[in-house]
Order: sequence, then C-alpha cells, then structure tokens
Amino acid sequence: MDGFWMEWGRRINGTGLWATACVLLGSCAGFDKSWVPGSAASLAQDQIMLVRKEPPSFGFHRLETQSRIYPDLGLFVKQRGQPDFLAETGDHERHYFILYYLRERKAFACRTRPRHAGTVEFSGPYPITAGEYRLLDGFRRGKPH
Amino acid sequence: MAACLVPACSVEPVADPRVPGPAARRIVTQRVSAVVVTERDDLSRWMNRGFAVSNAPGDADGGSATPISADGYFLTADHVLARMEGRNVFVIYGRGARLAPVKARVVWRSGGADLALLHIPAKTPDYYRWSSPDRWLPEGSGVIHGGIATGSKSESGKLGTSLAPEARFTGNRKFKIDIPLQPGDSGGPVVDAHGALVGINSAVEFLVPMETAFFVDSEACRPNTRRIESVIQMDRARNNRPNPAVE
Repeated sequence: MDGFWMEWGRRINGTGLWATACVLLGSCAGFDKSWVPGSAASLAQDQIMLVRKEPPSFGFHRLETQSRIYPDLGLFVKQRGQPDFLAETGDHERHYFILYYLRERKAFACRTRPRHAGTVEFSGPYPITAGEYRLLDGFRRGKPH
Repeated sequence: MAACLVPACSVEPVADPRVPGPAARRIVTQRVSAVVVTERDDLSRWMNRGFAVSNAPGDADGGSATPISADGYFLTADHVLARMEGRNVFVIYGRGARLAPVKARVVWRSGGADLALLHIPAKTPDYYRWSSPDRWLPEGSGVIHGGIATGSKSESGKLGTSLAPEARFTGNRKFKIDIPLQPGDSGGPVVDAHGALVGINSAVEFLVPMETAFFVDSEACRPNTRRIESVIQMDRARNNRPNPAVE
C-alpha cells in the first residue's frame, strides 16, 4: 500500500518482523497510562529534547522509554542511528514524535496509530531549514542563540 | 428502527488492499473541475488565453469541484465560497478536451461539514458515482484525490478513518486521508480503488515545532449520499428540471 505514512517494520523487514513486534507489544503498559501531571510524559509533551547518551539527557531516556513501548521506533533508531533531538506532542488520539538528524539535516515524523496499540507509522525524511539547524546545533553545543 | 441501527453495528471488514490504479486515475482526470469566485462577470477572455496566470482574475478565490450528476450538480468545500457575497461563482468543467467556465448557482451549503452543492446549467456526462453507501469503507482502504492543485501528481494514500455503512440518520462524516493536500485541492474528490467517490477534500493539518511543517493528516467529508440526492431532486423539482436518470 502506498501512502505518506509508512509502517517502518513492514517497509524494511517484511510482515514477519511486524508480526513479532505486535506480539511483543502485548505485554507493554499503555502509553496513556503514564500521561499524568508531573510524569515524564507530561514533561515531554510539546517539547524538543536533546538526545545525548553520555551523560544521558532527558531526551535520551525519553527515546529509550518510547522505543520500548513502540518497538518499531526502537528499530528505526537502531537502523538509522540515534537522532540529535526528539520533539514530542500529542492529542487525545495520537502521539507524535519528530526525530531530528542534524548531520544529515533531515527529520522524520513518527506517530502512533489509534486502535492499533503499540504500533507506529513514519513519514519523511523532511529537509530541515538552515535556521532550525543553527538553533538546534547551537543547543547541542551548549551555545544557544 | 432496526434497519437504521443494523448498518452501524455490523462488523468492520478488513481494508481493501488494492491501490487505485490507472483506471481510477483516468476517471479522476476526466472529471477534473474547478470553482472560481470572482467579481468578474465573464471568464471567457481568461479561458481563451488558456487560463494564463497573467490574465487570471486578480480577486479570484478558487478551489476544486466534484461533479456528482449528469445535469450539472457539483460538490465543493464550503470554505471555497467564503467570500462569495456580491461576487460570481464559476465552475470550470472539462467538456471533452476543452475546459469551459460556467456561472454557477449555490444550491445548498453546510459550514459545519465544509460542503456546498453548486449547479451549472450544462450537461456533465462525466460525473462521479458514490461508493456504495451500504458497505464499509475500512481504515486503510486505498484512495487517491482529484484536487486541481496536486491531484494529478500526488501518490495514492489510504483512509485514516473507517466509514460505516450509511444509515438513514447518518450525518455528514469527516474522515482522514494520509495524502497531503495543498491550497486549491479543497472541494476535490477522494476516490477509492474503483474510481467511486468517497468524499470531498476539506482541510490539511501540519505539526510545526519550529519552521518545518510536518504533515499530519488531510481531512475530507462524506455527506449522507441519499440526503444529498434528495436535495438535488428537490432542486430539480423547484426549477422544473427533469431527472436525467429517468429521462
């Protein structure tokens, strides 16, 4: 099936992998259950977060948590590499993640699927603008504009 | 009562995996239509110059139109007509290879559904048939759109919302498609793999964390098809026009 939003597992590895992902998800807690005031989820809502492994940033922990809940997100990061920034937002239906890759000057969008617990779709790559690059690169280097 | 409830309670089937192919795209190409709202009383000069941008009405608002009968009825998005007060509404419909603007009459509008029904006094032999109102349109079904801005070049997509069979009291239903629309596509058709009309393009949603806009979904609306048909029949009766289906 063509479409703007694609399932990453199906796109790169065929349906076998997708089926495996669905089985693994059965044991995961629902995303919405952690969406309470003061939780990591509410702190991450509508934020753009630095993803840095050493020392681990909030965005890194957030990406790790989300990758456990959404294995295809983890698979995407494993295949494409760790993004430099993670943006997160959502509404009552879906959650959205934007993954910024500064070196490639590209970003990918990822969203959850209502009524398909634990599954996600991707779109992109989107080219990021020079302004976005400058701003995010400045934050990454600790020199915000 | 039971007959009204049964369609909504039936079990949603699996989506049709078929992607709309060349036959569906041909149907869309044959029916490409536009709406122009302008102070100008006559668009023939613009038309005679091949719709050159240099000669386009400077005040024009525009969008797409969707022919739904053989006798000149079109659906469009209501917001395309937002500034129609005191201006003329034209529908540009292809007659063979030749596009012709014809002044249109607004028959019915729904701001909430973002739908409007127009009529032009012309024959429109290439028109859309609705996808069956008695069948499910499951989420994931393959669709294309026929808006004038990007319909001819956009890839196929899929329904992001399931549409249950239509019951008597089913209202206008908004649904999502994962095809990015652009200005000008509003009012154009969303078409399934068989070339049947699913609904009418309405809006597009983006996430903009900084400068780059990330496409989320486009929105379209499917009216109660039987109710639209009855509006058309009433309009024909008011204007003493025979139903082309029973001519």
